Amino acid sequence: MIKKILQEPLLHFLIVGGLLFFYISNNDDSVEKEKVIISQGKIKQLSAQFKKTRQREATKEELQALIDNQIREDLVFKHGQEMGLVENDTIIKRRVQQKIEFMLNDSISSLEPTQEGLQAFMDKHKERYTIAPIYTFKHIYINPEQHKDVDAYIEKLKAEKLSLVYAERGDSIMLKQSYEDISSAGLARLFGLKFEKALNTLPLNTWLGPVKSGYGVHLVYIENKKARHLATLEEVQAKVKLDFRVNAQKKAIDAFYDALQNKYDLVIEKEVK
Amino acid sequence: MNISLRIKYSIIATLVLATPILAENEKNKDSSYAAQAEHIKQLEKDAPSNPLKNAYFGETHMHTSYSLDAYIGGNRMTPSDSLRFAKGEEMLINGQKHKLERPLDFCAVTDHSEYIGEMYTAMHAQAKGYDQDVLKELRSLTKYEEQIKWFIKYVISVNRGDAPPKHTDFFTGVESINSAWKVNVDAVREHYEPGVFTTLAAFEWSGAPKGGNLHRNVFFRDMVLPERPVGYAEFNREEGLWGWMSEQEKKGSRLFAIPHNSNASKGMMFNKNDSTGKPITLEYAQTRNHFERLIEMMQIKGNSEVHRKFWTADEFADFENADSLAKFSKREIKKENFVRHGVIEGLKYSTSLGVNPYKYGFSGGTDSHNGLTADVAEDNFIGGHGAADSTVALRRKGQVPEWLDAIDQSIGSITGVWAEKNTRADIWDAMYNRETFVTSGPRMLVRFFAGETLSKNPNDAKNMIEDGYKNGVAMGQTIVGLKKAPTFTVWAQKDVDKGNLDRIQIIKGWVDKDGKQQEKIINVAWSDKRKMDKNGNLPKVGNTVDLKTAKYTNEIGSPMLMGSFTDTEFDATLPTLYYARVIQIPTPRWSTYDAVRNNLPLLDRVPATIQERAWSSPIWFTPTKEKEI
Repeated sequence: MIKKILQEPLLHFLIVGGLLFFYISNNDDSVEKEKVIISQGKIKQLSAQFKKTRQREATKEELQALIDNQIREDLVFKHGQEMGLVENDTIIKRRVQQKIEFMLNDSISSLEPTQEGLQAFMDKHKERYTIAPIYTFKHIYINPEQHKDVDAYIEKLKAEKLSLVYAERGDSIMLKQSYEDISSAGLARLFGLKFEKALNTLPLNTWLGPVKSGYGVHLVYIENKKARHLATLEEVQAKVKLDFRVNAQKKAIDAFYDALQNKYDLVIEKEVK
Repeated sequence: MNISLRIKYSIIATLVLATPILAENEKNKDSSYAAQAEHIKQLEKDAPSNPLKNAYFGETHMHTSYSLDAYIGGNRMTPSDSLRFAKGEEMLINGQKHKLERPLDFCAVTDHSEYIGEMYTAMHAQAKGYDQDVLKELRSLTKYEEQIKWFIKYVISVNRGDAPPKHTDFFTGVESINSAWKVNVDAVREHYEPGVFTTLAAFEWSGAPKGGNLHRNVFFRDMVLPERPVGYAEFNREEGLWGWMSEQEKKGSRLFAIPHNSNASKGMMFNKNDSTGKPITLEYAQTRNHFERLIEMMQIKGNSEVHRKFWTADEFADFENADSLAKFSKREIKKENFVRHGVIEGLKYSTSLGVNPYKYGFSGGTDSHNGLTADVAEDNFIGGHGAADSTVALRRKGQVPEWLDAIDQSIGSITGVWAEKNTRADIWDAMYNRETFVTSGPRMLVRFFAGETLSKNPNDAKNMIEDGYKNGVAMGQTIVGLKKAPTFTVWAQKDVDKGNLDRIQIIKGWVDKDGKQQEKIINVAWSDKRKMDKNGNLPKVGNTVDLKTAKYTNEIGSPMLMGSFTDTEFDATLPTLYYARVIQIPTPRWSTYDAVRNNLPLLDRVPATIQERAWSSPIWFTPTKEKEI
């Protein structure tokens, strides 16, 4: 029976209410009371918020209701703070942390880096801004289905002055016979991944082959190859700017936490064994 | 927080950032919208162009975490993540790293518009209604079975059945839809790189009266966009969707729709009657013809071209038939659900109404619910429905709830578009003009032309294509009135990194004088010097797949094929259509790769090898011009 009464929520409520009342009324009236101010600014904000959601001005009564609500919110928050309820609430802690980090991030994303700043950042992170190989080359396609002896045909071609006649040689395929400044990705897309790999290892300025692709075989003449190279700022401006900002945000947050550690005397207690 | 504190933090931040490299107060030039639009315009102008057109490959059908069913399966990809995946970036899917073998040229994220608002609310802590108990519950669920239960309780129950569908109880209002739509649109803006990668604003309208799939994906040409998309709660039938689309047109948007999964439409995709039960009218036909330019041929839930049960004379009809669709949701495998039936049926209306309502070019998509885009390589498949098929065991024995057995999934298909440039306008226009083809995965190419005076027996691809554009029409177009038999020229090139080609066929469809559907399949070009018999049939190309290692060779087949067909049986009084189908040599099905890699036996239920294929959009012939819209 007693157990049952003890589980009764109403009883809990009465006890808690009683304790709270005792706690409040026990405050000494002779000490000057701490002020809780509902500022002009706050009232303006309340009425503006109302206007924004309802698309009209609040009436006098409605505004008063909002203010009353605010009074309760502020009073109870103050009171809760005094009771130490804020102190160990993870949700409130995280929210405060989030707010501060947002403010830091905000202040950084509105800052505009200079060209010099970007260049310096880029120089520091060279490896992130490389540009894949770019080729300029010609080729002759040989469709194995159209030749009885592919090897013999290749030998025959190689005996010719190919750089003069290459445009008239080769079998029909929907590829161009020469490409200027094509990226390795573009090359892989048109000729396949294996062909691109093969081309990467071949020397310049000579007819070579057969180089295999998914379509058959090719004789290839590479005129120019820009090896994998570091990009200039002009080539990757937008990407650098984005990375710069992300990096700046990260750095600012790290530095901010370092500064905080200096502000307080941080003690980390050893685990009790 | 008071202002002085705010300033304090600003100062800290600024100090941290070595002041000399920052110029404060300088206006950020890129942030102005107008300047950005100007910049994009210039890039579009400068994009490389080919007057004979290039093939661009892309995705037209996939889902991110903004689709409720995808979120339930564990999808946490955002539209931006999916577009990054499309561009070739590696992503973490179901706990494993995954990337496309080759990036795509274009992509649209097509989330189910029905619940994007609810999903926005569920995923954004600052959104109104985030704290609702039902959403707290959703976010706290970790087991797939619980998530499915939740899904059935709060979502399925308000959608299926005869009652008109509606929003869920946790819907907080249209503002949430607007916010979700903005997430998609922002991603579309962010990832557009004219000449390199095109993004299209899009959504899926998922109308399914009585569980019959009438889903359509809607695509916008540019950034003139509505405040929010529309879902089945607003309109549960296609006429309602078109009404909404025409309102958007009046407001300056340009948009079209692609219906999909006709194989699961319960006979409704190519219905004789409209939603009120009356025979379709000229107005219905004109509206459909105007707004629906392509149809999805195949996706993860099966191939909708044909089914072996009804197309017994088509030796390639037994391909990803997804028979287990009939096990769920009271579906039936019906001839009337298939695309070939539908497009030929359309010819009847061409005669009776003067307009063909089913004048569809062909496109492809995956319908991946993993946030993946055109993830269509058989040897790189990791499932398409989150927790339902994320492991080998589930793919072999599991089910995609309400849909089909996981083993019956086909992975899906990919759209190829013939366009001069890779820009939004060029890609969208090519799709609108139906100059598209679709493949079951490999990036093979197909060109298809028709005309009275085209050169027969082409042997040079470039000449054939120039001749085609100059003296004929390309795929997706219509020839009106002919005096003599048309010639069709066709060329196909293999995917350079995949299997060789077996053959090219032309499929002819028409409606005879008695109103009956007729069709004929013609072998036009083939590999390995095979001899055709007197009935026009070819011996099989062979099969090099080693089922122990899941490897094949390209010793059979051809890297490219070319040919022509002159239709001497052509009847100039009957509307007729022709499309090309390119067949690849046999290669392993995804389920075979799964089995071999995990030392498991092959399953009898599905073929161990498949012949991948490409379909061109049709070319139509009509005796007289169709009625103007």
